Amino acid sequence: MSQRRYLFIVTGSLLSLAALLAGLYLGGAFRKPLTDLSSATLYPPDFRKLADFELSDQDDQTYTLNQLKGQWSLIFFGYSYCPDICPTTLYLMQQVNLLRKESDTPHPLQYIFVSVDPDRDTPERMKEYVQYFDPDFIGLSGEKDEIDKLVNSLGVYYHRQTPADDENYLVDHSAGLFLINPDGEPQALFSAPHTATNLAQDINLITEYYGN
Amino acid sequence: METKVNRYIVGIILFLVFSSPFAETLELKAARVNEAPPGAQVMAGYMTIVNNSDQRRSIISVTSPDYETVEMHHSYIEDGVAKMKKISALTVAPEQTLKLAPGGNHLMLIKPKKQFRQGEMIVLNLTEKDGTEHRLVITVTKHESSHHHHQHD
Repeated sequence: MSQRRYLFIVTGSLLSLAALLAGLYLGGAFRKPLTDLSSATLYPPDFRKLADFELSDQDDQTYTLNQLKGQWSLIFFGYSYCPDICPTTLYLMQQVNLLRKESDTPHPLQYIFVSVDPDRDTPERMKEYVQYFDPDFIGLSGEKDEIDKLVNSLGVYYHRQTPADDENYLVDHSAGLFLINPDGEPQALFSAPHTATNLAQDINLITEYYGN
Repeated sequence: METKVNRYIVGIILFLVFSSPFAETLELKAARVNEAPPGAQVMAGYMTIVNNSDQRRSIISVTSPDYETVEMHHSYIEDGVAKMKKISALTVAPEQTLKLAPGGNHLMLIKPKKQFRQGEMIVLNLTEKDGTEHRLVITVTKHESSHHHHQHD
């Protein structure tokens, strides 16, 4: 083997090794795991992907899995006929939005309220409702089957209480908040009770760790 | 003569002390109703109910000229799920205080007769089991954590 060829192989191997290490580094294999989270539970990396769904936003525009991609999203499931937990949680999300704006984070977040009561929550209803809390908020509603696609792939529960003849029926729904990454995959779950400060801190840590 | 008058005065004072409304009925404090989004069909009422008496006391009915119906509700979180149930009474043990607060007991104010905005008044009539009635006039407020952000004119 000529000396030149030998040099070529050695250099090539070193370069490949460097590329592999760089790849592993960027891929997160050597990074220390996120440990300082105060209220978030991270989804395991092999957690199922979100199913595609087709809902309507508060302006009656189609909203699908694609709209969740490209930026981080925080999702809460509820209904506008909910007097206590839902307004409380939406005010909390408004506080999180405010805190994150003050913190100057480079990772924008979509705040999404998904109705689990589409019979009463029409897009017009959702517009009045969510934008009262924060003009940045998105309100999604639509066919029950489409809502269920999103609900089921996140492992969320909701249940319309009987008696069905009562027009003021109540709906049980998840009290959690869901953080979706820019690939449209579930990243973290925040379980109630929430505080705006803990939420904002954890969201900042997670979005900085995983990036856009 | 003087002793007779004194006895009379003591009698009046004792009568006033024991017949004072705080001694025998419930005291309703810090009542609060948050402004709701336009078109909202439900609102929540919160307050602190103090029982200064030595009897168990219960609110068994709430009505309002400003809403179609008022119900007493309890919100709670079970296995990560937010649930709500109608309750038939708000009962306070002797010398105890019951707080109606977000995430717990509240009055569910259903179908407001108009959209109530911050600063407007609503009236609630609460009836105890023994028939004692309480009339509350409550000023609608913005949610306590929202003041620096919203303006709706």
